[in-house]
Amino acid sequence: QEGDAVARLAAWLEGTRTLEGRFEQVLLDERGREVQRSAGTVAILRPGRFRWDYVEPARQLIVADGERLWFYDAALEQVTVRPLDEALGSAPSRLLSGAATLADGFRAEAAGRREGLAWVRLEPRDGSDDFARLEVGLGAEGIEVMVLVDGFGQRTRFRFSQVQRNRGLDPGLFRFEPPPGVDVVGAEAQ
Amino acid sequence: CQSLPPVPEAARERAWRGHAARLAALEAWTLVGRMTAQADGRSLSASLRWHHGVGGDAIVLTAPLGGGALRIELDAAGVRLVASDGGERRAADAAALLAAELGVAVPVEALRYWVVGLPQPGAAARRELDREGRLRRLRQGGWEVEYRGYEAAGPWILPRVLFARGGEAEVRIAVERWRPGEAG
Repeated sequence: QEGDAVARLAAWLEGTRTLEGRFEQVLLDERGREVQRSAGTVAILRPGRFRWDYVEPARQLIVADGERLWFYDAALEQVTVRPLDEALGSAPSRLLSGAATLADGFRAEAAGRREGLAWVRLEPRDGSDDFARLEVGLGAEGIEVMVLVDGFGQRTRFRFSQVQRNRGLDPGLFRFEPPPGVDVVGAEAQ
Repeated sequence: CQSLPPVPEAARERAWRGHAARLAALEAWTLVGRMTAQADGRSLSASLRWHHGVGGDAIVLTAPLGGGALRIELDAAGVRLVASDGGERRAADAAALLAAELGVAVPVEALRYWVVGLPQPGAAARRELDREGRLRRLRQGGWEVEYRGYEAAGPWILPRVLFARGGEAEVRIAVERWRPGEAG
């Protein structure tokens, strides 16, 4: 029953065209102490499009429109933009947005049960990635928790809730229009 | 609305001296927030964690969705830059190393003072004070720092958002939480 957690994750990802829900994101330092907590809504249209809309503690928006990755920070009044492939280093977006299928992007192995979830550990196939491993917690409805462990031992933990899968999604969600009066910075900005 | 009576310059200067003296006595602090840095088309957005203590500073930048972390350590000997893949670089001149590695010449030794609302000691500075005698604008070392709000953290009043511009480069910091008195 262990091994099929990997198969279940692969099937769930393959069968996911769109995803919408709420997320909570917590950054834990190398000693496991909470550094930062944020929350908002996430929408994903595979392949290659996603939108992380942060409302707590501050307004931020991360949009992948299929070609470029936009970061908007309201307090900093700035938008940074970069080509999507260069920016997709971070695993959550790569795994969820379908830029790489599970098998060719990661080495996957089942990692037992805890917190009522079946866990899968994913290690990046190409060493250039900037994270050590990704741990994915599968519940009845699919991915509920994702923990990204980086080279310093920091953990970025995502918890998803109220997830709706394969529902119609407004494609406009994945087009980014810089708000008026905000600086846009980045190679692709012109 | 009824406009506030102007605060005479002498009163602002007095308030500034008291404010600056209290800040100078703050030997250790930790800040958590967000930062963007950009220079001629290259940009960086990161979650920012900065630990300052008597021995020096440890700054950790983490990519917005996790992964991609960078650690900058500053002490009397200079700067050490450690990437999350373990790669490490060391230099005496922090700004030059950061320019080479991040593409943005972040004046981190000066930023360590600007971020708490002080000019870097020992370097000429021109300052503009707000009504409470705190920095509104600071010109130092070819950079201009603009303070866009303060907040109380314990007995200290510390910046919430600051924009620093130096020639082509710019660094913007939004602080989510100050922990004065805690180095790490």
